[in-house]
Amino acid sequence: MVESFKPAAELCRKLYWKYALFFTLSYILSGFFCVLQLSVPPDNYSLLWIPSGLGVIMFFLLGYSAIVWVLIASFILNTFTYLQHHFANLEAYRVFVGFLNAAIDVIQAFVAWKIAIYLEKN
Amino acid sequence: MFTRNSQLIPFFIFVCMLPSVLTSGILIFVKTLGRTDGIDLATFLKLSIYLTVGNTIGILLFAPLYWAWKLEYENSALLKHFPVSITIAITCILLLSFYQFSSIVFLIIPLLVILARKGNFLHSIIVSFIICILLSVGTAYKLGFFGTHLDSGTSFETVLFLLSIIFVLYTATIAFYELKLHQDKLQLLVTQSINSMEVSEERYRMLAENVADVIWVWNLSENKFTYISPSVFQLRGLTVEEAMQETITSSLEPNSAKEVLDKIIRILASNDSQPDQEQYYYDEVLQYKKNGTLIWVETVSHLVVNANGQMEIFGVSRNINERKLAEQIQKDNENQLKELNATKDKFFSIIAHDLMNPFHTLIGFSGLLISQTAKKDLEAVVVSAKLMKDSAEKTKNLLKNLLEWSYTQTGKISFDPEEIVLQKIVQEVLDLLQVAADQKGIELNAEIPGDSKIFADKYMLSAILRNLISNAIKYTYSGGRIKLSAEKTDNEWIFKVKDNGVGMQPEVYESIFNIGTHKSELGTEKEQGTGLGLILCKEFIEKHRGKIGVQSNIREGSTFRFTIPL
Repeated sequence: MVESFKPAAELCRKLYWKYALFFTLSYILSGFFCVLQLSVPPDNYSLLWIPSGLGVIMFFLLGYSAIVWVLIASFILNTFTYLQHHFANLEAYRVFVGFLNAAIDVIQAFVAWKIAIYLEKN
Repeated sequence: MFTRNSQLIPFFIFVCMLPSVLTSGILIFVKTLGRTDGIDLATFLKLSIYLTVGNTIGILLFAPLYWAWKLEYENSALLKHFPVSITIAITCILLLSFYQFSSIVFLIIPLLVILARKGNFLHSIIVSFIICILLSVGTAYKLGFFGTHLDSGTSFETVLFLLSIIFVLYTATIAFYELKLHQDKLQLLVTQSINSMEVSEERYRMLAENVADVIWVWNLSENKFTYISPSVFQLRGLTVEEAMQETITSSLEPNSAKEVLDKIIRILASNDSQPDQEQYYYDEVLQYKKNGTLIWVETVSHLVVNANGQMEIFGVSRNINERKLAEQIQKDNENQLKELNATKDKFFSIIAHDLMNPFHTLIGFSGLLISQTAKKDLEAVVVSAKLMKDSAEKTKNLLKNLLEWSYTQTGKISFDPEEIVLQKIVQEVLDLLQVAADQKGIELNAEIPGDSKIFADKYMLSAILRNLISNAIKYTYSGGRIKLSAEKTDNEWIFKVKDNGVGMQPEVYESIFNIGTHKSELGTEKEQGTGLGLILCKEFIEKHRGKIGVQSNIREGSTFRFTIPL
């Protein structure tokens, strides 16, 4: 981990569960907020997607373990809220699509995190 | 944390946009999987961009917040009045635009510029967050400028507007931050430079005021001293104020002042031809002390151009009086040693050559005398005996002169001046030498004031006159004339011995009083001399504090002139 992240990372290790849960919860709630309050017709897409920023922050603070937490948060968000508005298909398919979306969100945050670290190093 | 816009732009492109672009396309593709009507390419691209921008804003809002929180929160006054006021004003404008005057939303742009100038990066993030949330909520609920003009493209315009606002605000904040950073650095450098200069100035001032040497600056344009260190008091007994009033001419002995002024002209001419060549000049000058006495001072100087572009001479002066005195003593000793060495050489020369020759003659003629006696050739015996007598006489004279000279050199000869009648002593000398003059047919005259008295050493004066007249007889041809004259002035007697003999070349008469260089030459009738006569004259005259000199022209004769102070 980059030097400048060390104090925050150390803090996160001490309060790992609390931080992880807090950010996971924030991720889910902010997602709900964006979907429910910031979506505009005709496609009902949110104008801005706050969870993408929170996902990157979770990676900064929690390191690789953020993969799990972002995956969980995004899966819950996409499965129970986002996809509910668009598709009313079978449960298994909804779970599959929700997981796929969650995996994409993890990839996005992970790539952003890695590039940020690379940029900071250089 | 971002401190330069060159850091923000790569962050925006690679951290915010690139992952969003990568994932947005996949996301849209996944979402179309469940749709039966499919999706065209234009819609696909539009939705992809839409999601990209939404995600980018999300990252752009939160990711910098992490660094801002980590690095700036504690150090920055988050609750500073002015940025908080601007934040409240922006919030109020946005809320107002939801209910009345929707176009008033654009008023936030100048406020954002002010915030970027007065606030920090954390303020900008918070305000961006507020703007994004409020505008998005307003648009979603059909409030405000974007909400009231909502159509199929409005949401796209809104997100672009939001992205632009955030990006511009961040860029402006960092630009002002950079400006302030550079300003602070510049100020720090200026402060450090000033402090360094003050320390340096103080150090040099201490040095200048505590060294024994005098440091001075002479301004050539204003023709005055602009700085003299306090040590001038030790050197010359002058205060700094007194010394500053002086000029080169008034502070230096006239010859030294002339040399210095001439040198300055040369230096300036040299500087014109070679302005880049820094050269140091070393001089030794005589300078006046406050009490009027002179001291030797050594100066090391060089030409400088001051801050006003004026030429100045920067110099350091040092008292070398004692050194110069020591040098003078050394020089005197050296001259004395040279003289002693020459004396020694002359002495050995006389012993080896001049004294030996008569003995050769004596031995030769004594042998001849023996053989002539045996043959009873009385006429030849008389001739040989006469020649032996002459040789013995010459040897006696030589030994006499040598003895007198050695007495003068060793200080054994006594100097007993007394009142003597000049006419009498001159007549004695003339009587003594008249025979020799008559033998060569030389007319010998004297012009001496009658009954005149002179305060001198009788023996020495007689020897002087005898040597000069016999010298004149030696170098005057038969039928020539020699005149001795004496004249009394207010403070001295002036004697002249004038002949119309062979005369001398200038290089000869310049060296005749120097024992190291003078050599006796044969007279007009091959008379031999000791080479000591004139040197003895000089010694005896100097005992009387008088001076001797000669004027001569080749083949016209010579005039020896000497003085005896009254």
